[in-house]
Amino acid sequence: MKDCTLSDDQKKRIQATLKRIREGLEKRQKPVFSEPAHSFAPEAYDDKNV
Amino acid sequence: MTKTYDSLAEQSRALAEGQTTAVALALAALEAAEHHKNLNAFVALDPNVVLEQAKASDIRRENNMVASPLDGLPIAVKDNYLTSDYPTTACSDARPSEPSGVDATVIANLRSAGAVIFGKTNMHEWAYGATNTTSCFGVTRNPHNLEHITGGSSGGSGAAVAAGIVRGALGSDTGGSVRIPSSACGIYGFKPTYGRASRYGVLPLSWSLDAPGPMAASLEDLELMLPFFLGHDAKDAATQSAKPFVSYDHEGPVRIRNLTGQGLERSEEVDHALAMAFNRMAIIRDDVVLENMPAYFAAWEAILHSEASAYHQELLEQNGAGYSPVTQAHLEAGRQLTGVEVLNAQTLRAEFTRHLLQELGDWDVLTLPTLPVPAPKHGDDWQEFGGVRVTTQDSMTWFCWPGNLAGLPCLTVPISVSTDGLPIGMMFMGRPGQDERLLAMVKTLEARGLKGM
Repeated sequence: MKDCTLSDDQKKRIQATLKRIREGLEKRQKPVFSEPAHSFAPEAYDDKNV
Repeated sequence: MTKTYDSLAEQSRALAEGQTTAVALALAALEAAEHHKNLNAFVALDPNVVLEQAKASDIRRENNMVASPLDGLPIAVKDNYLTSDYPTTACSDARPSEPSGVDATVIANLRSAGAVIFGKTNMHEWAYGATNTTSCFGVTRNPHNLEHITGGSSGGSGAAVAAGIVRGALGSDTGGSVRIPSSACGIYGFKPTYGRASRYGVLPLSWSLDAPGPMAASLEDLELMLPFFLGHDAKDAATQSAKPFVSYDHEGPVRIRNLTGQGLERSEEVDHALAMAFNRMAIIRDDVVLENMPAYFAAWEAILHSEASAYHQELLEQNGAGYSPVTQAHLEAGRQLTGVEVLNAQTLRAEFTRHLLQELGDWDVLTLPTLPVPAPKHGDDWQEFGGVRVTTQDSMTWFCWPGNLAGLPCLTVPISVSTDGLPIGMMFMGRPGQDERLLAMVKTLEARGLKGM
C-alpha cells in the first residue's frame, strides 16, 4: 500500500483473518453441480416463491 | 426542556391535532442534542438547516399540503448516507470521494415526505466495525450507561433515538449495523430484505450484503418509515424486482423456530431473557440446531472483506494514512483473498441461504438474541459467553451476519434489561421479500407480551 507500511500488529491481524476464513471455507461440502450465485437474490432460494 | 414525544407516531399525531409545530419539534430536538452532547451521537448538525426545513413543513401544514405522516418530524441520518446539505465523511479521515450536493435515494424519499433531515450521526469508520469505537470524531457513548459502547456501526443513530433526541434515524446493515446498536441501546431496528431498499447514495461496505434500514422508538414508527425505504429505484439494479411497502395485518398464531448451535452461543442472562419472552408469549416454538456455522461465517467474512477491498482500492492507494490501522488490515486481508476463495464463499452463501430457508420451512419466523451479551464496556476487547471467548467486535456480529448472508428481512426488538440496567434485544428473521409480514407478526407478538420491561 502507498503512504503506509503495515505494522507487526496489522500483519498479525491479516494472517489471523485469512487463517480463519480459509479454515472455514475448507469445511464446506463440495457439491458437484453447485454454482456460485452470479447476482444475489435470496428469493431465488425460496421454494415458496418458485 | 421543550415538550418531547415518545415516538414518531406521537409526534405525527400531535402535529395533525395542532398541539405542536414542526419548528417546536425541531427546537426540542436541537435542545436535546445539546443536552446529550456527551454521547457524541452527532458529527454534523446545523440548527439553521434544521429550522429551515421545519418552517417549510409548518407552511405546508398551514396550506393543507401535508406530504405524509412524517412531514415535520426530525430524522437523524448515519454519516454514510449522501446528503445535499451536510458533508458525508463515513467518520474517516480518508474522506469519501463521492460528489457533494447529492441525496441518497432514501434521503430524497424522506425529503419528498416532508421529513426534517436533522443531522448526521457518528458511526464506526466506513461502517467497518460493530462497536462505534473507531471514528475520526471519537467514540459514541451508550445513553443507558456512558461507560458502555453503543454497538455499531450505526451507533450514533442508536444513541440519538435511545436518548430521545430524535425518534427515528437511518442506519445501514452489512453484518448487523442497524440491529446491533438498536439492541445495545434498547430501540427497534429493521434490516430489509436484500434488494428491497435502495442502496443508492449510501456508501458501500460490501455491496452484496448491504441494506439501509430504519431505527426507531417503536414498531409503529418503523412502519411509518419503511415505505420510504422499500421499492424499486432505477439507480440501484439490486432493486429491479423490489415491491413498494404494502401495509399488512397478521391474524392468528405466530410459529417460531428458535436457532441454536455451535457459533450461536450466548450469555446465561441473554438466554434467560429469551426464555422469559417465550414464556410470556406462550407461543408454538421449536428449537433447532444449525450446523456448519464456522464455514458460513467464513463465507460472510470473505465476501465482506473482498468487496470492501475492491471498493476502497483507489482511495486506499491515494490516502492510506487516512484509514485506521484496523480498517487497513481488513482491507489488506480482503486484497489477499483469491478469486477462487471468493467464489467458494459465494457457493457457500447459496448453500446457506437454501439451508436457512429449509429450516424456516412452514414456520413463520426464525429467532435469535440480537446480541450474545448486553452492551460491553468501553475498553473491554474480549467477551466470554457459553464457553467461548471472542473479541468484542466478533461478539457484536455473532447473530446478525446470517441475516445478511442469506439476505433475509430482520427485526430487533428490546425485550428486557440486564442486571446492570442495559437493554437486551431479540431478533426475528422472516421470509425474503415479506418484510411487511415480519413486521406485522412481531407486532402481534409484542401485543402478547414479547417485552418484559
